Amino acid sequence: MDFSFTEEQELFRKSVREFCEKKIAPKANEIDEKGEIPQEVLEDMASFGLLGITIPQEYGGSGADFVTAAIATEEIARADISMATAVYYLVEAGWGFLINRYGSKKAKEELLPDVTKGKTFLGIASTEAAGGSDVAAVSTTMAKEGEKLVINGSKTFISGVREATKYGGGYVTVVKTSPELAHKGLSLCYLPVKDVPGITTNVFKQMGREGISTGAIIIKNVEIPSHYLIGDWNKGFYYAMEGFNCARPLVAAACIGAAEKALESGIEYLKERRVFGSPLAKFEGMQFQVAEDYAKLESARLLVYKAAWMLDQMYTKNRFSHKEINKAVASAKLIAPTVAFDVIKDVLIWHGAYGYTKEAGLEKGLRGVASYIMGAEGAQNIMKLIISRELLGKDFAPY
Amino acid sequence: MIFTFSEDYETALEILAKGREIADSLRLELAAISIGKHDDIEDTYIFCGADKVYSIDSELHADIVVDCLCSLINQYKPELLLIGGTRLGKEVAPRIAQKFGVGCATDCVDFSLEKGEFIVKRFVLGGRFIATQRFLRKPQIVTVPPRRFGKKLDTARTGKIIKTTLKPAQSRVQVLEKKDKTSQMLRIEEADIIVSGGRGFKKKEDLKLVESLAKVLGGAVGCSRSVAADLKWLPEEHWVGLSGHKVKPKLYIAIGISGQVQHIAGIRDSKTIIAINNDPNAPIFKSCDYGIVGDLYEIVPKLTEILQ
Amino acid sequence: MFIVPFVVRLFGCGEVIVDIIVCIKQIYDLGQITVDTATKHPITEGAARKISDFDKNALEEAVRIKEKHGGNVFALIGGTKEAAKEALAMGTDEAFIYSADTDSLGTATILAGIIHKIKYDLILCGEASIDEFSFQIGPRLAEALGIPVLTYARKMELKDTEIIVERNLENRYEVAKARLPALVTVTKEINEPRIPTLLQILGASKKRITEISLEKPEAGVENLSITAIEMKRKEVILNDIEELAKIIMSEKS
Repeated sequence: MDFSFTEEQELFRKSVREFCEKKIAPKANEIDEKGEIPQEVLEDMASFGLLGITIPQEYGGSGADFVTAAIATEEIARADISMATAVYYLVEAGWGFLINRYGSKKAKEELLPDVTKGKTFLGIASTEAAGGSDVAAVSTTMAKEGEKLVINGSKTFISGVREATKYGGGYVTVVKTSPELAHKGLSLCYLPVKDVPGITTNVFKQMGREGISTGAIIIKNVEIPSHYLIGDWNKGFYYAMEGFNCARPLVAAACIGAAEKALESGIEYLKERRVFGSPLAKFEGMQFQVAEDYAKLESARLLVYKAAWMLDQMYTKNRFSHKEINKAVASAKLIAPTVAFDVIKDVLIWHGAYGYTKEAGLEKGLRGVASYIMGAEGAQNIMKLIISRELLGKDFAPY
Repeated sequence: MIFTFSEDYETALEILAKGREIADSLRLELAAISIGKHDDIEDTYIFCGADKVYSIDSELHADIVVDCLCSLINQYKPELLLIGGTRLGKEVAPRIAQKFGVGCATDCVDFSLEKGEFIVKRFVLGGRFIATQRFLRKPQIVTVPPRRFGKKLDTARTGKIIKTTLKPAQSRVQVLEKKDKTSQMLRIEEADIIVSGGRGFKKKEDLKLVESLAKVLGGAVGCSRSVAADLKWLPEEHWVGLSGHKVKPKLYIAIGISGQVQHIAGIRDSKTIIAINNDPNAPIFKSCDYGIVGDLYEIVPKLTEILQ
Repeated sequence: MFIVPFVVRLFGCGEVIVDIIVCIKQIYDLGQITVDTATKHPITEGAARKISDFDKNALEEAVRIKEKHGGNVFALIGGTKEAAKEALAMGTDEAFIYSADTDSLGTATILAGIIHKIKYDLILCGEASIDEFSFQIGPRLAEALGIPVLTYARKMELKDTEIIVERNLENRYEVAKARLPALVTVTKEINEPRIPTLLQILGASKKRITEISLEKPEAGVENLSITAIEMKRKEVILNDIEELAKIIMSEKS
């Protein structure tokens, strides 16, 4: 057993950290205040090879494995603890990987180079107003009409709607292609959203992962070319589950990164801040919190990297069953956001009234991480369902 | 014998004063080396402490300085060389040391004699630590930072001026052009008053507040690492800090600068440090003499107005 | 003085290919060095290591010259394989690592010993390491090799068999040139070093790192002690701008 990263991964972490400290961290407040990631940050990330990092080199990516992708996620979230930049990065890493795996060659050649160049945004559109967690209940339809595919329906709570309509880009979209077949009647397609007849979007005001938008896409008789179908007809459910399994460890890595950064600044603060004649850090009540927060964060971090490593093992060495992957990924996604939220909350409390100010730069971390407790990339209760289904057996699944 | 050399006139006089002290305690002769084309500075060298002045009429190039000093060392076998720690000085000192296979200590801030042994101190590890060093062989070569020590003038002193007949070799480095730095760029290290701005400023234009305060005080404008290196709001000539410019003004005013270790190390030698920052927990308040907690956008204009 | 291999190959219409050696020191991240409260000695345990800042500028400049003119870049690194990997990822062709537990005299002697065996046209160093700030290695090494040295370069350009640099001196910039082979020390202004990307890091894993072990050379100075400086400031927090103005006026004079 060896818990170490490779020399290359260690060096990559150092590189990404330096990059993020130079190019992202100075903009973190601006990203949160203005509610968008400045274009130059995205350009810098693209030229540094971060965007679509898991996409192969032939499409401008780096062909990174998931451990490496998770390292970058963790580092990006350290630099922007609002999670906005990490989310922009990780949905592309997760779903770009999936398009490369199952998309048509024509679609890949057409779409992926623009993603890796930072020209267009690539996201995931699964959730609908009637429900997000129950993917099988998707009601947006797609039908074949001659050479075209025609989509009708709507998607909601979709990350990056404004970015995708501003810069261009689109979504890996879950659609119903055989309504009579429940989850076996789902397919996956690529849905462009910028200047597409029949597409309207709106952006929600939300609790505050401000730097990347969340909104709805209304799809009315939208025609897409047939090569935008991802993989086989009616196999979409399995692809989507695989895509979520790829994205979730990265989501968890982002939460960990944000919380680590918060905890580090909290520790510095406890050492500096004096009350009743001695530093806060000298009080056992604080020390125990520091120790517990560290231990919780470290355990979550191990789950994250184990899940990412298992994915890499599955893709490169055909190890681990889907059941094992499902459990590992869902455990990481279940634990990491909750732990991260608790850690950042503790650090905020240590700072007293100052912690509540925007200036302290901590509250945006709490807002950001919260988005992953509430739902994005699978709600916490769904993670529990996945784990319990694998533990108890399919017969005990409530659906 | 002890040699002193600096092409910078003021520094030459300062190291003569220091050299005199050491020469007296070791009972050695103090010889100033003068290289260049200038008029009658040799007398002043004697007034400032030299017993002898070896004067070389030549162009001033590093190659030539190295050549001349090496010849004189071979001839007079000095125990110690004190070289002014200018950029030229810090190039020639190690070169000479390498020629003779001996050690060299640059930017020495303190000298002492312990049991007849010459001991120097210099800042290391980012200026947070001080190393005490001794030499293993002679000649012992040190450079002394400009403006570190005072000069002493005694016009009653007498000494000997020797015009040498050294014919140094040609410099292998050819100077094509010299461009003076603009006044704005001129040596922040030399400023008596520095007003610096940091990340507390929201945009580049707001640094005008720093400039106008500096103007009122007749000081130079400085900035933190992020302002120069990350945001590039000011040229790096203004960058104060360990990897920027180490400064030692009488008065250093840090506005909106949190006080990272590197910055603190760069201002350590300031006589008085004043900090203006809205974060009461900013580390700068642990490293300043006087601090005021509050919004710089309110404080700085008011302060400038009062001082006007 | 010994003969230095002088290999400037003319290529095409006056285009010059040069082989460049970059001397690099790996240092502890200064921000991570702590102080032993009892002894006041520095504690480096647990501190991350990195390539000294200006050495990185030297490396970047070498790689840029290589990208423009061709040739090879060799890095001579006082430090570990970790630093070598980083240098290789930044574009160095081959790295040599040695242990640098000595002073400037010792280090320059080691470097000169290694460089004897390498064919080169240009040597680049940072103007100083950011831990010691002694400014010695470049000038000493040039002296040891008997080649011209151009210090404090903020710009540089290769023209035929000459190197032209703009030097940053106290109150002026000086454009100066020397014939190759020469040594140049660079300032931080000369460039912004690239941060290696994942592909560059992975691509560098095949490049060669040679460990060189040499007898410990003679040193010129000995450290008797290294102790933390205690900085005592008044740390008075004022509430009144008028009061601050008064203090400024009295400190100013």
